Amino acid sequence: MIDLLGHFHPFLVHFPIGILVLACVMIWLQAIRKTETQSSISILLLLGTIAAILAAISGFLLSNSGEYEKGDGLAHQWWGIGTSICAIILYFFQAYQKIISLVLLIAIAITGHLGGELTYGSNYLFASKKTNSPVKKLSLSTIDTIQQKVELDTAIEVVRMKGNNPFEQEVLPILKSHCFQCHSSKKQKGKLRLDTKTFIKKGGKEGLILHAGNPLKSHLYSYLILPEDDDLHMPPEGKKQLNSRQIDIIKRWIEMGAPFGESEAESLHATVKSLHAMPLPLPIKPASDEALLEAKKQGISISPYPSSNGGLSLNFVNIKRLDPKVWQATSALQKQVLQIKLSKRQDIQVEDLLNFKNLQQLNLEQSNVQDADLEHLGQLPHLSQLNLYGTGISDQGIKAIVAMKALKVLYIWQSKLSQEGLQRLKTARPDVSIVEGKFQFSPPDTNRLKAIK
Amino acid sequence: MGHQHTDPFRLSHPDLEKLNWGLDRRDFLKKTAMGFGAIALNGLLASHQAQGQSLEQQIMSALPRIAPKAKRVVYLFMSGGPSQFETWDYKPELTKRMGQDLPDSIRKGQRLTGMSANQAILPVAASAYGFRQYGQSQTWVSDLLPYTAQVVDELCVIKSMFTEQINHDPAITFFQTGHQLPGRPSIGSWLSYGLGSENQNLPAFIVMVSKDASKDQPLYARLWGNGFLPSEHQGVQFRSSKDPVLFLSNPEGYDGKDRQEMLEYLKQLNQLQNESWGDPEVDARIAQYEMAFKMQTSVPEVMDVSDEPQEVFDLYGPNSRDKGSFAANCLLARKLLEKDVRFVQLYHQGWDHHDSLPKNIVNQCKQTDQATAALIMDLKRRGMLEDTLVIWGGEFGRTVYSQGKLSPTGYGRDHHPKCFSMWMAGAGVKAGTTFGQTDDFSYNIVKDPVHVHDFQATLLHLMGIDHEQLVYKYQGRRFRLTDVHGKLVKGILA
Ligand code: HEC
Repeated sequence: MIDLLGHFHPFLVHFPIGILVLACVMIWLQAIRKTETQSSISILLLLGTIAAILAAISGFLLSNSGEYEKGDGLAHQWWGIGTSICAIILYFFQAYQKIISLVLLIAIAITGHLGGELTYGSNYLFASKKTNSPVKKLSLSTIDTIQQKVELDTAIEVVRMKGNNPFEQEVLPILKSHCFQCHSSKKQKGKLRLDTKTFIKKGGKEGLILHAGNPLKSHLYSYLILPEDDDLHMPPEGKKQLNSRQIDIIKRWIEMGAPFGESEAESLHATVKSLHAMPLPLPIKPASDEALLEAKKQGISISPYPSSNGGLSLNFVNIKRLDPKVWQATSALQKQVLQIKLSKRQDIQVEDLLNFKNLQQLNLEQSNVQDADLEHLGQLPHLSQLNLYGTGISDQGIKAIVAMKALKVLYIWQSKLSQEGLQRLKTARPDVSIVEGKFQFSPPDTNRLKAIK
Repeated sequence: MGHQHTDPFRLSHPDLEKLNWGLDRRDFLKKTAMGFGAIALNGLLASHQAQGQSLEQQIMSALPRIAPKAKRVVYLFMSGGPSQFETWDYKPELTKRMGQDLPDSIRKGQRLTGMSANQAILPVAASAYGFRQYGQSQTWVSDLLPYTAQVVDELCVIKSMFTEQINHDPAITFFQTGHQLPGRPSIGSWLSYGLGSENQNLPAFIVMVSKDASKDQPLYARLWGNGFLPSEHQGVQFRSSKDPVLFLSNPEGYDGKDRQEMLEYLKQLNQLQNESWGDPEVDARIAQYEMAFKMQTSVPEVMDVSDEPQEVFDLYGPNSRDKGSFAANCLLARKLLEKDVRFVQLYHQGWDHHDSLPKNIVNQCKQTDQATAALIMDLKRRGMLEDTLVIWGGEFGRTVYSQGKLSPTGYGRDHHPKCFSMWMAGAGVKAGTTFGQTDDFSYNIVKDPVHVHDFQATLLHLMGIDHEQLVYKYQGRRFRLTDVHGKLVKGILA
């Protein structure tokens, strides 16, 4: 019963707000227009005061019903009480009513705002404005300036799990502030508790709520993203909602394999899993948007380099001439670039490549590279794949190739390498897989081709 | 106080959309920051084509990338449904059962096509051709594929493919678009849409149809159509005729000197139109004009094989000089892949062997075997196999029993959707392996079934796309290549 009265609070609060604001407006109208409406004002003030008191009482009951954290609404509570008192004073002291009415208006505004935050979450008032703007920009039919692109990206939040106990550090605080009021020792709505690992693993009346590694299967996550008016949406409609970042944290945590972070074995398991599920901790600092844009503007095709995180592969197919401007445009990417593709180009100067210290793969097939260039390439400490097919590389280049410590794969089909040279290379570097490209089919055994009868 | 949200995107939370088989803009943006997509987005923004790209597409291009193993795909589509019995699925047990009625325990009441449903008996037909093991992988390969057998260590043979469709048109449509009814985008269109073109002078999706195949089952342009995606993503068919791409060259009597200027004005007009209508197809139109203009020079160049040494023609086989043949198309495919075209699709018809299979399949294999193997080796020696995915396969398999009379010299095989073989090679797949297994009759799958949607999901994965995230909203519904299905076939990934 008491709970029920408490539940009337969201309904009741509208009366004091409406009535008292009207009363205040009339007080000022009367003062400015010099008309006599005091009797109506008094009635409004009386009604408004009663409504304010009722609202305060119901609010108090609601705060005790256990659906809200203790202390959560303290400020709201005191401002509410203050508002009621202010209304009473106003009713009795007509003499100062102009001043008091201003105070009352402010009190109403503050109380209402605090109440709103309780229900809809803090900063809902401003948050919507902020996050809206980039989307408005987006809805222009095209985005064609760098400016907008950058703005758009900065509006994006990246969620990365911090520390080695993401459950305690990131997930639990969210559950505590948004779920405990109904799913903990206080209450067990849906026969579910979320306050300890054991309970979370146990699940609720519908069974398991957590399937490690699979957020969409886990009610712990999937219920959060149902439409708010869905009966199963959590937290239920009208309650303080999770923001998208918090939802993402829960999702990522489940994707990681939902580690609770006690046993070492478990955390190891979780890391192994997370290696598959999430972006790796970057060994390479990701390229900045500006740097990528700069290179893209020159017409360079950029794509992620396979099996790397943060590594890039550059392809110059669309570049007409490899002039300094082009290399200039890639200068901010030097750390990230792991592959450069310059197939068939006749205007390569290998010196330009030496700034890319992390290069692992170089495609110079059918290009103008010469033996002398290979020595320069020897300065790239990580070069592991080198494609030199169809180039003028001859036996003179062998020494430089042998010296490339990291080299693993070498394509030399149709180069000028002699048989002896090749043999020498193979003996010197048995660890390199050399693709000679000498391939010929053996003619099929025509006898076998006849159908078996 | 009405319905307020903490977060204005609350109702369109990404995974809610995912649950509804979709994904919204917000999600792309998020993923952009987490993943790698920003790059592609950047590209589209900055390239001169920026105006030609619709907003959706720009954001689409910001798809999260699973580090892509494959940069390009060449898909050799064996249209008609090649028999698995005479190619990849060796069933030695069948010789003993030759002519016996297919046991009910195997057929399990499966519905047959009208072509064989009324047969009094369903006589088991063993392959007329022998098999041998090849390569280090010791994979069993039919004697009909002596060349592919020599590159078998590069292949990952999937013996446990299955589809839901038993007739050609729905089955091939299903394979190409993820749905049996026409109207959805083809795989290549999805890729073009998701990843854009790497080479700005060539379309991302190019199609060639062998002229030397017997045209037993028709192919239609909608198989490489863009469906509801913007039309610049449709596959562009290259032909063997004087005009490789229809209507690309300048009309007679026009020297084309002021073409670029004309297109520039046209573009301005189109942009005016776009401003007042906001129709994404106007963007598509602009993009297509620009692409066509660039193709006026890029296409003749890439179609010109006169520079290729004799050795290359020898490799691809005797037909490779015959323009429009499968072998010549394979050679062209390699040239296109060298130019960084993302998706090259070849079709070779004529595999629909309802009767006289032993006789007809010989020719089919002859036309395709050597060039297929050559393509693989040619890519390999150029260092391209490591980031190119090669796919071989048809729309379904064939029955173990003979359609029509089984005679010592001949038999036919009806359509069989419940199991068939295909293979993949190159980027990101386990070379020299066999995946999945069928029963002794190659009638049912006994291990590791791979549904068409699983295959598609895996293909996208290799190209760096999560198939659940490549989504296009059309007429109020969110569409994916894999519809609401598809799981990654992890067992074939290297
Ligand atoms: C205002 C109370 C309230 C809050 C706050 C709340 N829930 Fe619930 N929750 C419920 C009720 C009531 C049910 C039972 C719904 C039903 O079964 O119809 C429920 C059920 C569930 C269930 C399903 C349990 C089962 O097996 O049936 C999950 C999971 C759940 N809540 C998760 C959460 C999470 C996570 C949060 C915090 C983000 C949360 N809830 C916050 C009231 C709440």
